[in-house]
Amino acid sequence: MAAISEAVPQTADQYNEDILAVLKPPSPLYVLAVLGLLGLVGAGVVALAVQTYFGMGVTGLMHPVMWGVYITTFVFWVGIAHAGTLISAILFLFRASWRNAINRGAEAMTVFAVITAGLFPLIHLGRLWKFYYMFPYPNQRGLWTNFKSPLEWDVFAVGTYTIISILFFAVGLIPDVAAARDRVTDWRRHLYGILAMGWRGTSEQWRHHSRAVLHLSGLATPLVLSVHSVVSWDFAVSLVPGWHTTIFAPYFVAGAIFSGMAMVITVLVPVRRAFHLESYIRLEHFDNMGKFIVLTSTIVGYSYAVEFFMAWYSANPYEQMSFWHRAFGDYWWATWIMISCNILVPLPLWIKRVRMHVPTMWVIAIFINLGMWFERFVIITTGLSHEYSPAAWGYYTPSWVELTILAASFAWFLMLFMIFLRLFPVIAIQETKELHYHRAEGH
Amino acid sequence: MPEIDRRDFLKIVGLSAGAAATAACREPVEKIVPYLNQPEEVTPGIASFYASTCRECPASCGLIVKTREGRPIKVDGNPADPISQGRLCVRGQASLLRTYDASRLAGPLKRAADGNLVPTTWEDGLSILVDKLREHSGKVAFLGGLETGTLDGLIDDLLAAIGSPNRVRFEPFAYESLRKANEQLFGTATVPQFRFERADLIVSFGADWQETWLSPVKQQIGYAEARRGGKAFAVYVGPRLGLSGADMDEWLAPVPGTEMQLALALLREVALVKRADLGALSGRLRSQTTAGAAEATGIPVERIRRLARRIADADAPLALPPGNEMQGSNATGLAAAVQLLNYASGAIGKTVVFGPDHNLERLGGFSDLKNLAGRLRSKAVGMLLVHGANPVYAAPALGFAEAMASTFTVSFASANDETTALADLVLPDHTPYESWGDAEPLRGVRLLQQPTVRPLRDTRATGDVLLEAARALGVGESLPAGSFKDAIAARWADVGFDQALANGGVFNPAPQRSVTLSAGAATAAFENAKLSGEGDLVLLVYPSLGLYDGRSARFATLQEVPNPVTKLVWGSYAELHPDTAARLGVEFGDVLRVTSEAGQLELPVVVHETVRPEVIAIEAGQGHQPVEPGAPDPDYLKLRSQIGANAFTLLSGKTDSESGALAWLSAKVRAEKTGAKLLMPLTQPTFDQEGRGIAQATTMAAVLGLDAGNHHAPAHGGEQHEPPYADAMHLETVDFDPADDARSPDYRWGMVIDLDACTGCNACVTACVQENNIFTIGEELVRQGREMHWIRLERYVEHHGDEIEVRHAPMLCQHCGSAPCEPVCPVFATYHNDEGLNVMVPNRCIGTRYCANNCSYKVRRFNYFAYDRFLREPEQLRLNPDVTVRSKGVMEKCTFCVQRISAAKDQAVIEGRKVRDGEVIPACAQTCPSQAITFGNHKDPASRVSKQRADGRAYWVFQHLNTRPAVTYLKSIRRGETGKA
Repeated sequence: MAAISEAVPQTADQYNEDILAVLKPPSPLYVLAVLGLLGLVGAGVVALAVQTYFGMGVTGLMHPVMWGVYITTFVFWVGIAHAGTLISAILFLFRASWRNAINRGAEAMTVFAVITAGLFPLIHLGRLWKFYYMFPYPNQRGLWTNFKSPLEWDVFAVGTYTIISILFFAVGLIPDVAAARDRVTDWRRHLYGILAMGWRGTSEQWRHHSRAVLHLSGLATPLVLSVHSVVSWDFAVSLVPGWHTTIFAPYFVAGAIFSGMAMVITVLVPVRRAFHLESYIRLEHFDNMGKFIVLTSTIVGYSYAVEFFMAWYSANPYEQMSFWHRAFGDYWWATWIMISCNILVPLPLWIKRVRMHVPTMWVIAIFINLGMWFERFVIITTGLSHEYSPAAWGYYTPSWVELTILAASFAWFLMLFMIFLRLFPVIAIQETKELHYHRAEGH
Repeated sequence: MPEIDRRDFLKIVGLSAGAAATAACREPVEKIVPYLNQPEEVTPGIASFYASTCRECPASCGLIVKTREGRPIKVDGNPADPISQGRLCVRGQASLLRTYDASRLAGPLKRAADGNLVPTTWEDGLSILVDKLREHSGKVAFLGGLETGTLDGLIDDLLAAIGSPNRVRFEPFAYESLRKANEQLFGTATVPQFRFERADLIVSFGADWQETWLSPVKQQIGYAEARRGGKAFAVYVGPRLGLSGADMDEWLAPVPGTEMQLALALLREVALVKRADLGALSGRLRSQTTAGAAEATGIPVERIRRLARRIADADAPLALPPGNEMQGSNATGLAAAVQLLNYASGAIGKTVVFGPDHNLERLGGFSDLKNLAGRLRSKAVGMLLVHGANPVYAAPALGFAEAMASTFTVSFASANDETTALADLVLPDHTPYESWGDAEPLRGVRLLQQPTVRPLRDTRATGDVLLEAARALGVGESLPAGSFKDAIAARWADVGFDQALANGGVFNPAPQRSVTLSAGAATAAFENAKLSGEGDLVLLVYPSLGLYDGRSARFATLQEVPNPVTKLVWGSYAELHPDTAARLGVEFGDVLRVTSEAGQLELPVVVHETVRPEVIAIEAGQGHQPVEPGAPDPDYLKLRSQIGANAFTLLSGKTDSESGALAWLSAKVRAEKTGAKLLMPLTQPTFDQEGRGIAQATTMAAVLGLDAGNHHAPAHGGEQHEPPYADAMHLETVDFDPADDARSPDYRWGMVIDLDACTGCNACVTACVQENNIFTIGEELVRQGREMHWIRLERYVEHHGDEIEVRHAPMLCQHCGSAPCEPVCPVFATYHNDEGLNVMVPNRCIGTRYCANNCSYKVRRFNYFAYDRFLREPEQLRLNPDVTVRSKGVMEKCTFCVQRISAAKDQAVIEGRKVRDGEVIPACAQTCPSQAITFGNHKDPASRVSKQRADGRAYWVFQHLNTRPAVTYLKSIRRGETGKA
């Protein structure tokens, strides 16, 4: 098998050399790519400015579909943010040592995804400039916030998740930025100096560091389950047929891990290639991530089936019509994109050879990303477009403003990730070293 | 920490203050300036009410105008007036917009040397008028609409004084054939009153008695009265089931043009049963067999017989003579046949009452206009004065534009229209809310109209202009002295001008008089309508509910009130039966080229099953050139170049030979698919309620409790029982008491809507728009699904075999006791108040729109744009100062007119009592001519809402969702044997 013939770094120094190679000056191609992404982000900012100035009318939102691309994209990015924590925290606690090579990238992805996600509840507000009404603090308006509202729960769920994922990322980074600090002389030295927080590599510091990572893992683990559960309650708590269902929390969490894993693969495959990290991010990783995808794809597929089954079994005519509409109504195309990408496309991953074939994995991962975006789109728009009152049914089509902002969110995410790639070691040096020694000792 | 010294402290303070001030730099500050000298009768914040008259159509309803700080903001019917009885229609409610029309004429205009109309002064304009009157003395013609007051006499006097008694009183809806028929049958060329309230059977032969025909408000009130409690069966005869027909119990759709045969067959059968003496006419009826009529009309014999039996059996039947849409080449004959049916059934004197007549005798009609066009062409008329008429639009077949070209034309219109655009001199009149006037719509019912706002533009009352011109011409002594107002006061002096002004008029209806049939005089031929032209479709042009004959088309509000049948807005559409559409290979939105003898139009198709398959139906009133309605489309403040198409251009000007009336139902047309397809501004995507029980109905038998234990034996002629919706859907419902949903010990506001009374007329929609500052957003935004109405008329079509039943349900915020919208708002912008109201606070809203998503009734509306920027000077003056003007990005919805609740509570507190039942009336309930809406307090067991809620017909929409709605619906009642047919 291919895995056996893969090269393995021989010395500890080679780890530092390989991984810290990112600190060398960037290529023009890289600069160009980052600038291109920045341009796209700029387009999104312009679109947002247009929307803020003229009003939400520049979107395709309408009566009765008052949520669309923005909330879809919010849920999508929150979902993406889950794989990082899953890999770093849960797999850490389960001592799944293969995670070490990919956890840094996954954690960074989490931070950037959650930052991207957090923008969308603001972008979707009719009055963006009043967003602070959502925060409970004593104010001259004499108004408190409504803790019954799932949107208020979101403020805390996403807020907590942002803080924890940044902490987790920053703590894990300490030994590696210290190594990087000792190799550069320019402005980055100050940045790394601050982030390293006086790291000297003493055994005392190592002991504290590993305890901190363990505790943070413990804190972050329930969040993986809770954040997306809370996000799913945005829908499940409502009365909308197609939203009002108890399966949403586990269904959304599985979907989040599904899409998160797919995004890790989507991002790491080019990175692995560009930075020649084939000996660190190994086929074994793809194999394991593939297994996760197979598992979560199955759960997601099961959830789809259960939703349709329950719509029929409940004998609730509103629910039944909503799901009939979902499969065969105006939005049939979105539903079938969702089902194809999330259930049919991952099926080959049951075969190990497919899981170990990186280009195939990458293509499948991209389809899953697409499918999972459409999953949220389908839930939101088909539910809203076909509610109780037939006199108020409608069909929503996103406008250029929404699509620009959607594209800009991907650009924003990728731009942050690319800057991260050039600024920080994409693989946790110390953890892969551990792996090296363990392997050398014959574990 | 470093010490901060005094200087640093001051710097920091200065900087912070500067920063704070800069941050606050947003909108310019507008100062509220108090009156320097407060005018008498004006107290800021307190409304004043004035009685006046609605001049939107000849029905001339009495009004109460609500003014705030010197500007009218809302109109409602005058309860003292026997016509409006405190109610108004969809057009009356919007009539203020004529005054606040941004594009009305700013001042006098004259035709310059380069051919353009240019602004001029009144002095100049008047001197031109006087010069021209002198020049053309003896050859002056005055073309006006229906005037029934002082102005009417003044015009006659002036024309007499200058020796030019050429007066044409033209209304597109002039009822010439009905007057002619009455003249022939009863020797009186008048229009009697049709007393709906006395009838127990109403049969309309294509009369749109609710939209435009005669006096829609009065008739709708009478209809509701006749039908209350399940009384009065109603039948509609006509090729298209419009608003008026939709509420009636049975629909007979004869093949277009054969209505006569149906009427005669009915007449013959009824006359036989009732042994009515029709004299010489009996012989002419002998050949009119029911079987023959059934064959020609396509209506089964038994249904014709059943209707005849109903008419014969009824105590007080009422047959309505044809409205415009069924006015064909046989109009007089058909009107005569229907009036004979009334005679034979004993309705004359009972439900068809001569005296007080509609004051229409002197009204001319299409033939007078035709004459005038001829005289213009032959130069017999050298100067034309036009006031309140728009012949260029309304009668394209007469070629008025070309006939007027060589005539010096003066227009007195207050806003530009097709005729005014061709005039040589424009001397704009005030709008009705700015001017004095009077009217006598029914003999003896005299109404006064008084100004309620200072003229907003440089306009002058036409009465004053004519008086001034007469004095300048030296013929002033034959006219009243003083101003036009003085003339009115003088004319009213005998009945007490001041008292009449306070009351709105003097209401002494002329007494009823009896008429006798002079059957021999009926010379009109009883023949079918002649249809001419190539093609296989019959053109049915029907008058518009919202636009009347087109005179209201410039009101954006009315353009945005959905058509009661198609639920489309802002345009003209060709309505086809599904079979016809399939035959032509078109579907909803496909553009059709419609060609008649007279013209060609391209119109998008609407498909619905309430037209006959042979018919292509087009609403009249659209297609104005130039158009200037005050709504943007699709961009901010951009005005449209055209709205819809003028259906009159398809009529070739054929007339009824007896009366000279324009034959509306006379053209056959060819329709071809163009291949183009349009996105349509549709406000309701489906008319199928999917058995969801939104608009429910029950049967007469169930109301009377006759069918207990008799579910399997259809004792009532196979009548279908309404499915109990929630049960059929296996959904549990829980009974609830709305009084539990308010913490206040005194009040829990609620509403009851009687769907049996509701006819779907949309008056509540415009009343709500006016009261609550709801913005009109334009066609493009409606097409995008952003309509703003807080109350909408949901229309549903139920099929019982081949028979069709139309139901309407007004849908507005249900003020649920357990509202889905409330818990999901993160910022308490919507919450439940102590009195059970579901309150919406726009200023708190940040626009998450979750409330709208979670609203099961879909009655929440979002401000997608800053619609207040759509307002053009002086439209902002019509805004109700008691209601917030919403900005972009916030949600809004029905408040149950919370401003009126507050006002009533304030008054109650001052008087140390609780609010009385009926003291708070929301705008929708106030105007509803059918009195379908009742508002009140559920904490008071004696209130009308509490009592009605206990009615056996009561139900709650989506009750199984446990939202505990405060709006109770009463099921409509399906009368008769098979319900609607």
